[in-house]
Amino acid sequence: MKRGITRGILYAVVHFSLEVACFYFIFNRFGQSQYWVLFALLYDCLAFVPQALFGALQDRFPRLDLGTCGAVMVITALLLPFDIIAFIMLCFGNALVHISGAHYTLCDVEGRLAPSGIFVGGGSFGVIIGQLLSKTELVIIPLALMAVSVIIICLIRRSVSVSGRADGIDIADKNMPIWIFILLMFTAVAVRAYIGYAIPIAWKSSALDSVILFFVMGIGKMLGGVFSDIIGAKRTAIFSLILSLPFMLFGNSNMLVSVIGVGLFSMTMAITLGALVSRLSDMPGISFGITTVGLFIGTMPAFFVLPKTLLANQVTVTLLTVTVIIIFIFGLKGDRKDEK
Amino acid sequence: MKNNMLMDVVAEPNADRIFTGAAGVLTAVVVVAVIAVAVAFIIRAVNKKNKNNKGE
Repeated sequence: MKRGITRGILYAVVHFSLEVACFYFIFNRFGQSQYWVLFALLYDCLAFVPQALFGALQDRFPRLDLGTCGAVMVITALLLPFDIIAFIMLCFGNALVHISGAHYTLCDVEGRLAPSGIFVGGGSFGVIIGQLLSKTELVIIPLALMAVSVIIICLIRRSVSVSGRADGIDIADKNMPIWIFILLMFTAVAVRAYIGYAIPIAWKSSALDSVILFFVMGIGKMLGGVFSDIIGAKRTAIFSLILSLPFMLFGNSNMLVSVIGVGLFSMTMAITLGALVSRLSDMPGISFGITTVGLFIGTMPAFFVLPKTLLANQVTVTLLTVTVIIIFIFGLKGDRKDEK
Repeated sequence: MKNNMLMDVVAEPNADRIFTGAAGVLTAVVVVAVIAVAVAFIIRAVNKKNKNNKGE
């Protein structure tokens, strides 16, 4: 357990550094481009979707060092002057490091979700720091962070030998046919990703507000994993979503109210991943890949259609959140001991 | 001469639009292709696992 948490924290640092590097690169090189939207869409696609393929590769060859390979690709991308080649390297490097993180925080963690929750949460802090840094020419900072990440990944690899199986994580309803289950969890991830863009946040006007928002998101994701281990995944998922609704709906102009909602809402991140891994325990890489494909599919409509008025925002958030709650009610296993 | 200048003014935004359109189409093709490959891969892997489980 302790080793799992340590791995989660170390990979959270790696995830943070990775996102700083990627968002620094994207905003610094393409932020002013007239094709910005296309680059943003392509980045999401090429960084998220191939994780299913790299995940399968990691599942098949658990000793393969995808993390170091990905981190070196990101460092190379930061140094390369050829924007498009660097961009593709950056996306694939990002995907490889993510899969490595999933591999080390899902396998051999004695059924705990906290390590993967902590790992996933680390990225949120990096997203906003990378965006803020991109306005400067301090490329040395993401480079230094990625160099530290390479060291961390190598150290973890040297000290831990994981089996490639995520045995012990058991939070899913196992009576449901596997394809229906995968489709439900995929939908939950995609819908949740879209809701993230629909939450009314008129209060967010300064850089500090953005930093607070992303930090709360990260803490929420981390706590989701921790609470799942303490009070149970189903309870955490359903209570956090129900509680988050009023805060999200009525926090449009009040930062404190809104960030409480966003924090609670982010808590289900590790739970969908854990649910998929529960059914596909010998395929943690593919499971992680399914969630990232879902994330991209959910993000895509946000590039084209977003509710325009506050009321439309509130209705969208409510309907979609209720959908996710229903999915969790049917897809997750009860938390009572007699149900285990 | 006048005509050429006019052509320049008119042609530039059009070329820009065509280029943007082409970039958009290319992006859409890449996105669809990447998603298709990933989904096919997931389906194949999960089906394989299902078959193995049934075999056991």
